[in-house]
This record gives sequence, structure tokens and C-alpha cells, in this order.
Amino acid sequence: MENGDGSVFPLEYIEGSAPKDEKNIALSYLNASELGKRVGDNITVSYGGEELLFNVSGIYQDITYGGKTAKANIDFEDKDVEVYIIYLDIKDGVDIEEKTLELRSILIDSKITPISKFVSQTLGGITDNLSLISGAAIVISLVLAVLITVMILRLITAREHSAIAIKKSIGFSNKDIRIQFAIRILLIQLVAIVVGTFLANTLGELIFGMILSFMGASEIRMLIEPVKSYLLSPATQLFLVFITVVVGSNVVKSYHIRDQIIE
Amino acid sequence: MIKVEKISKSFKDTKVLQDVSFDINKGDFVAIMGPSGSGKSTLLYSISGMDNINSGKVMFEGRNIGEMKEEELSDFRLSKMGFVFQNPQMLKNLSVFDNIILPGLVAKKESAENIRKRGLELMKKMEIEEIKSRDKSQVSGGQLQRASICRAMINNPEILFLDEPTGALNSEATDQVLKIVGLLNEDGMTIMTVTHDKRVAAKARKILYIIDGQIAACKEFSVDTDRETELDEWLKGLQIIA
Repeated sequence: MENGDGSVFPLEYIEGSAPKDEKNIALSYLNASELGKRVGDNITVSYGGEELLFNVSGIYQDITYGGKTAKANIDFEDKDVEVYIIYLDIKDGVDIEEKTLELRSILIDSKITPISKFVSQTLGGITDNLSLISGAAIVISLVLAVLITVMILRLITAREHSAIAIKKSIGFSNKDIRIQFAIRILLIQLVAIVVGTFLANTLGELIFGMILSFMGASEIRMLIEPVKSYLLSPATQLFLVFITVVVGSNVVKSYHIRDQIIE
Repeated sequence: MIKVEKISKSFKDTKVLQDVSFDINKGDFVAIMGPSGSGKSTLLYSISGMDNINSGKVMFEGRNIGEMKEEELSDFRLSKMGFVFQNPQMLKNLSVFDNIILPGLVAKKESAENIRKRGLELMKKMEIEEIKSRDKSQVSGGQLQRASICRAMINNPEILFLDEPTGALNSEATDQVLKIVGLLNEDGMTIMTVTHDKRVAAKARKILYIIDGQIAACKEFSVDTDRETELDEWLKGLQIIA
């Protein structure tokens, strides 16, 4: 349970708002889900041998402390307080590192942490895992793109063995035939990228939100990095598929009209 | 026009052609005969650049086709050579007419309009205009083979290579194809054909008889003779039952 002025560390609520007085409480998404509480519901909290009645003023997303936290204005006994968190605003132009060192030398019993490190320490494990998952997803998707291209190529070359041999016999070069393959497959790939990007931008948030709701964050807003999403990623896929077509279509060199002639 | 100099070709350890040499002059009609597996078709494919040779050289209008790069050779074949195979090899999903004009469109030597015009003229000459829009499955073998000849002629080639052109045809269709081949040669087209059929061979002025990848005998016909009879006697003289 967190007590204090939450407005210093702005938080966007899924529903409702931060507690405005001592009768209000805000619950994390996972807490609210498990307790079956919604904004406006009442909830009783036992503290110091008393039953305290609160009204749920808001629900927010939180993935710290297992996703189960709450915010309320309760006057805790000092002995029950696990930690005091004091947020400091630094004036523009002040070096944060220097100010941190200065405060550490004065407040030797306190832990002074710049906000960037605080975020990193709090969410570091999660962001590292997400980075690992996204990295694995990229590798798997590229490997799949290559494998599917190889399978399509094998299918086309086997099905069109005769047509390829005929084309070669009437003067098409191996290069002409391989360019035809590349155009066909890259066009399919291009359509797949457009459809995939559209689905990632629409269903992606929903699916990812469902997965992360188990950790306490149900409403995930995905931030799109345009250069990465719309340029680097499609270019990498197209390049890999192109290389696969170049290597995989090498087989047309061995096709000969002789194979089509039945003596 | 074509000078074949001591060409040899092997498939793995099997020698298919051994030191074969001969010339083809412009306007010639050369027939390659011989038993099955003797290397006739391989000779045709080697001369036309469709097969690589292991040694020797094929000079086409002074150019060694063995030294050409793959793409250059494809262009060369597209513009200088026409091919007709035993089974008319046409592309599915294209009409007979589109099959005929396809090499012309790929070669891009003329406008698409001119190529279409030429395609129609050739079909008219071969008396197959009515099958223009049909699929290959909707025409007879003879008509399809004549369409193959149209396709081979679309780029005005220097030479026409025929690989058993009547091998899959009935007697009537064979007559039609022979008539056309004869007319093309009379118009100056150089022709080289591989055949088992004595009637086809009798249209030629020069016969090369291949056994085990080597030219076993060569025959040139005089101008006004009964070639079929002369061919029969020549083959009997070789003690070969053709």
C-alpha cells in the first residue's frame, strides 16, 4: 500500500482517478481483478486491528511487487512503513549525477537514485525479458520467412519443371527465369509484410495486452518506431527472401528440355 | 554457316559424342540418322548450345558458341535459332497464338504489333489460323506441331533445329509437317533435323549417320533424284536396317 501525493509521479489510470481523500483507495489492475472490485465499489482493509472502509476511486496498471499494489491516504504507524519515497525535482541545467553524489554525501542513510536508474531497476528485469522475447520473435520470423520461401520455391520449380524447360529451350536464360521467380515471391512477401504490419498495429496490442495482463498490465499501448517498423524490418525480410530466391532458384540451371521429351 | 570441329561429349563415364566434325552451309538441309541412343539428339543440343560440350568447338557464323556466356547464348539462340521438338512443347495457360509469339516478345527485336502480325502470317502460311485462340489441349498433334514451327520461325532464325519432328504424329500430320519443312527449306531456311523417319530424311540434302557418337557415314543427294529410294539403297548398302 502506497501512501502520499501520487501526482508527483504521474500515473494514467485505466479507470477512475487517484484517491482524493482518506476515504478513497486506488487498486492495481491485478488486485482489482482478483478481488473482483470496480471503481465505486467499497472495500474493507484491516489495519492496526481496525476495519477501514474505502471506496475504490481508480484502477491503474502496475507490474511491480507482482502487480498487486494499492494507493490510499492512510496514516501508517512509522514501524509499519517499509520505505519512504521522496521525489525531488531538479532545476533545468543541474547535473543529475553531481546532484545525486551531493545528496548521497549529505543523506548517508538514504538511498539516492536518479529517476532513470529507478525506472531501470524497477522495470529492468521486465524490459530485459521483453527485449529477449522480441529478439527471439525477430529471429524466428526471419527463419520462418526463409523456410517458407524455400518451400514455395520447391513447390513452384517442381510444378513448373516442364514450363521452365520449355522456356529455356526457346531462349529464356536462367537469369530471366530466376527474375520471374524473384518478382513473384517478393510480391507475395510485400503483401504479407503489409498485412502483417496492419495486424501487428491492430491485433498486436490486444494479444500482447492479454499476455501482459497476467503480470498486471492489461492495457498496453505499443509505441511504433517508424524507421524500424516500416523500413528496417521490411527491408531485412525482403533482402533475406531475395537471397533465398537467388540461392534456391539455382536448380533451374539443371532443367533441360530433354527431360520433357518422351522417346 | 556452322562449323562443327571435333566435338566430344560425355555424361559421367559414358561417351556420347566422339570427335564429331562437319559443316552446315546456309540453305542446307541436314538430317542426322542413327539408332536410338547413338547420340543424335545430343549432337543437336550440343550444336545449338543447349548442352555443353567437353571438347572441340562449334563455330556459328564465325563465333564459338562454347565461349559465350549463358545469357549471351540464350539471346543468340533466341534470335538465331528455332527449335521444334518431338512432342510439341507448349506452355499451359497460354493460347496457341500466345505461345507462338512469346519468343518474339522476349527477344524484343520488333514491336509487339509487328510480332503479332508476323505470328498471324505464319499461322496462315501453316494453315492453322483457326486454332489461334485455342488451348494446346484443344488441337490435334499435327496442328500443334505446325504451331511449334510457327513459334520456331517467329524471330526469323538463321537455322531451324528439328528433333524428331514427326515422331509423335500420324501419317497425315506427318505429310503436312513435311510439306511445310520442305517449303521452308526451298525458301532458303537452313534446317538440321534428327530423325528415324526415312520420309523426313529424304527431304534433306545431306544425311549424317551416327553410331556410338561418331559419324559412321555421310550421304549427299544429287538434286533431281528419287531420294527415298536412294536413301533406302544407301542404308541397305551400309547394312543398316532403318
